Amino acid sequence: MLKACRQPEPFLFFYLEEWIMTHTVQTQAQTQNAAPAQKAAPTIAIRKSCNPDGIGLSHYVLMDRKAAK
Amino acid sequence: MTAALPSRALAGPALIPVDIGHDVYAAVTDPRTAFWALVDKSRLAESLSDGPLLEAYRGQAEAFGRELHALRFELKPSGVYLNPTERCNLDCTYCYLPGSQRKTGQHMPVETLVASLGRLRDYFRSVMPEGRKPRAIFHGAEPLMNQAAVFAAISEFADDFAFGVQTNGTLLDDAAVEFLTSRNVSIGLSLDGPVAGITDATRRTWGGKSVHEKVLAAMAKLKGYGSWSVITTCTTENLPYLTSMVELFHANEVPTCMLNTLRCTLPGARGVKPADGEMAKAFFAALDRSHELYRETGRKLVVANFANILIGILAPTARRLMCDISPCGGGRAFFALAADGSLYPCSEFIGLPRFNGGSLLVDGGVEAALESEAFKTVTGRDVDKFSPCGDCAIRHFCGSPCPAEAHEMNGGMDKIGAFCDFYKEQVNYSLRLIADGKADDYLWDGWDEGTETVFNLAL
Ligand code: SF4
Ligand code: SF4
Repeated sequence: MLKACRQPEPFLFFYLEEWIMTHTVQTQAQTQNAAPAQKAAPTIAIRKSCNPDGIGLSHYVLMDRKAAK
Repeated sequence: MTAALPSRALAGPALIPVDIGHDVYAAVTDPRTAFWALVDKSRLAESLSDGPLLEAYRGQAEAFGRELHALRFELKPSGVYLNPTERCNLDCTYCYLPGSQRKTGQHMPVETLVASLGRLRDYFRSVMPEGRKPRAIFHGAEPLMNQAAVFAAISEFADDFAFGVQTNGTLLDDAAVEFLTSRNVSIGLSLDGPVAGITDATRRTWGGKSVHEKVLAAMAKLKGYGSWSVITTCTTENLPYLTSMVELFHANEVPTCMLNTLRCTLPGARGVKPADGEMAKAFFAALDRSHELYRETGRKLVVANFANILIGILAPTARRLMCDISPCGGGRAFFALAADGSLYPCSEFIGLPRFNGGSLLVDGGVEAALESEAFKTVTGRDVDKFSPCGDCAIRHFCGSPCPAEAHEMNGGMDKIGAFCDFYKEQVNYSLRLIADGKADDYLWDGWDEGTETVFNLAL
């Protein structure tokens, strides 16, 4: 069974100091429960590129698949 | 004397942190180039300072900047929206075309439509690479009100354009379906509710009659065809039912749907505009349901307007829709021909005479329209240059659509559109999917064919 996606949260650009403070507080709380140290998740950064000639419409998506009928 | 360097070069690439609402990951972006990375929250500080991520990005920043600039400012038109009639047999609450036109307006004569397509073919040949067909989409009001002209044009120019028809579906009889499908014309329908009572709240005839069953009948006729889609326009009236819409579309083997926010260009639409937070909640529930259905059945129902945001993040130049980039596609990647023969940057502007760029056949044609003040006002709307978008970390994943509603609803081209927060939520959701390795589940199979991976970092 799939896990339902989290409810949307308010989108936030945050200041780094605030982030670190929040994070530090959480980390301290977790330490009290003696959680084992976790390895950091790997960084993900992907970009693909192609020739943008002839792309794009607005309200409508042109299906360029061959008709199956 | 040393020439002054642009401040951007002096500053060098820098990354901005973004909270995407994920348990493990935060995003960092360089909004100027649409670069992004997902980093473990515990490593956020080091990701922002000099380190392997910034070092790898530095080597590519200029190329990414050039690519984005080309996408935003150097495209030539490759598509046209054709409005073969001003008339429509329906009176939808949120339509962007004035009611008087839709009720008693004119059809474009078949000779004018054929002459227009001839002129357009010549124009596209002059700007598009050989071997690529321009797209020509018959569009609102209701194109099949002038079916004879539309079908004559499709027959005559079958080799010159990739055709599509966006229709309310009520006039799509067996003969029309046979004509269009045998020519591989892409067909888009519109349906706003899973049951008649919901569809009828926003889409009905001038006399108030329901069209729900007729659209379902058209969907049944198209089952098994490869090139069709259905658009649901999301309003306060159908928001609680988006999940049911997805179920209905999936059950009817709709290959692609769009759950579009309504455009608030004309006042009628604003009365049924959902709040951003409500829109996001319902939209993501529908996306989650589409994903469950995919996992249960192995068959995807792609939600194209969302897929486009996701693709815009993964591969900016592979996007298919041009609302979510600034300047948007209106008046530069495509334009619209109104039933009276005038050119507009996008169909969205057809009810607004000041955006008329002149007649295709009588005035200076496409070239003159592209250079007109009417078009330049739209194509000059640059998300980098107005507040709050100019400082936004995701501005090139959003594009601040739509210029027509920014102008009409919010008072100017230097204003945001109607759904700023909803766009932010969509980008957050997209980045969470990428973090969880699920992005491909929401995209067309083979969406990245023809693309090259130019950055792939796993630190
Ligand atoms: S943002 Fe608006 S004007 Fe631009 S392409 Fe989309 S609908 Fe048309
Ligand atoms: S409309 Fe909102 S999300 Fe879009 S670019 Fe502007 S500030 Fe950013």
